[in-house]
Amino acid sequence: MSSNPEKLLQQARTFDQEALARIYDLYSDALYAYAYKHVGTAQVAEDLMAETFRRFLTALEHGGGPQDHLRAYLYRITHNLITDLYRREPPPAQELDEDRLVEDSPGPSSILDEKQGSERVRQALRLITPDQRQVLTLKYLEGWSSTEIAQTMGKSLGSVKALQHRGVAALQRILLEGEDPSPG
Amino acid sequence: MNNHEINPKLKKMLESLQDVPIRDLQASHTGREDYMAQVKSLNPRRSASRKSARQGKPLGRRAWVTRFAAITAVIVVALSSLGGTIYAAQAAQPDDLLYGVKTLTEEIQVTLESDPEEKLDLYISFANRRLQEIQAQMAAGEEVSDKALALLEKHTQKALEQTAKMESQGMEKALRQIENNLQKQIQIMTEHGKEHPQGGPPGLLKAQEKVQERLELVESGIKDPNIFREKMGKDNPHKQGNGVQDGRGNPDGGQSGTENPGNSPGNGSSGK
Repeated sequence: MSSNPEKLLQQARTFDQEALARIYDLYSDALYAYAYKHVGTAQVAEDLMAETFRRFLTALEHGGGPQDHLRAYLYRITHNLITDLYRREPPPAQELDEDRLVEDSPGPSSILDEKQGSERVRQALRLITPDQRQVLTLKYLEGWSSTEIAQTMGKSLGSVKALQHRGVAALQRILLEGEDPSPG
Repeated sequence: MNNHEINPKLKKMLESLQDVPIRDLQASHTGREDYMAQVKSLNPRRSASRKSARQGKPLGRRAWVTRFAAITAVIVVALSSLGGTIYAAQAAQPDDLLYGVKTLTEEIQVTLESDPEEKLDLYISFANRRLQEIQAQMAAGEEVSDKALALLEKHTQKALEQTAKMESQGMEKALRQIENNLQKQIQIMTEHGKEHPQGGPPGLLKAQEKVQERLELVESGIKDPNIFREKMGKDNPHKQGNGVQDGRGNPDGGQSGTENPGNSPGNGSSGK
């Protein structure tokens, strides 16, 4: 069985079970990891990943789904699900800004507790816009190129770079408040 | 800004999220099994389903004449430069440019149809088609199209009006078909509501209330066709009398047949 995503997608559109299984095997771990990085809970990440594939199958069943760029399509669904989840459970903004970020962190350079540090970053990511969050996570956590991100989001390269710039600035304000904003 | 311009401290903080624990083997295994079960239960939409639903039902002379007229019209159009566009439009989704062409061809189809039962079939089929489009949008995480919702509402109303003109004998069957469609509408909207507990688009919420009202109307009609006719008469004051017509001699076909879209749907009377 080919691992070429475009070929697999073509076969999947004819409901080829082997191709659909291969697609799951190719992307499920990556989508789980992507979801986990946002939500920090294994069970929720599993659920988001499963829901992504369920929606993919439903779309195919109704003659929809992607014509190409399968990976981008799947990530987009997961991202939308994460955004929905965030909307349902708004972050504790006060606690994040005042208590945890300032008092608990004597200096961002010294991350006292790794788990607590990750949680702080997750909370901070929830405070920026969904588009900025998608750009930053795909860029810095998944290692995608700006062109790939632009393709996934259906935006121009310039828009993606602007989102990246604004997202980094916003995160910096939230997480490194009071520090020298210049890089390095 | 590029990768080199991000504050290294911030970059390091972001990278702290890279630490993803290995997936639980059992959960991973179960997840794959569930997915494969979904794959095996896939029920692809078949464009020929409506055709097959009519198999075994001989066409009368009048129906043949109508068919001939429809086919002639289609051929004339196909010969024009619009032919390819119309063909391509049949797969269009609500957000596509060609969606208007698709619904227009549906409208022409229903206008050309003079047989009341066939007309009713078309309305129900179009309602199912709209439902599938809405379902696909929801499944893809897209916003539900107001246009598709409005058309779904229109097809359902037309189907109800057409049913109210039928004799009691055929009415129950028609009402059950509509009931099936309405139940699917409620199921889809409820599922969507669960995924968006803060509320979906206002149009969808309004549509859900209307669907519930209609379902109650249809259920009352299955129990007592006269009540259904009476209620439909009240709901449509512009209609004369109680709207009861003989299924064969309905003179009102033009009125209900002027606004509907339609090409034969994917799934006939039931989605999956």
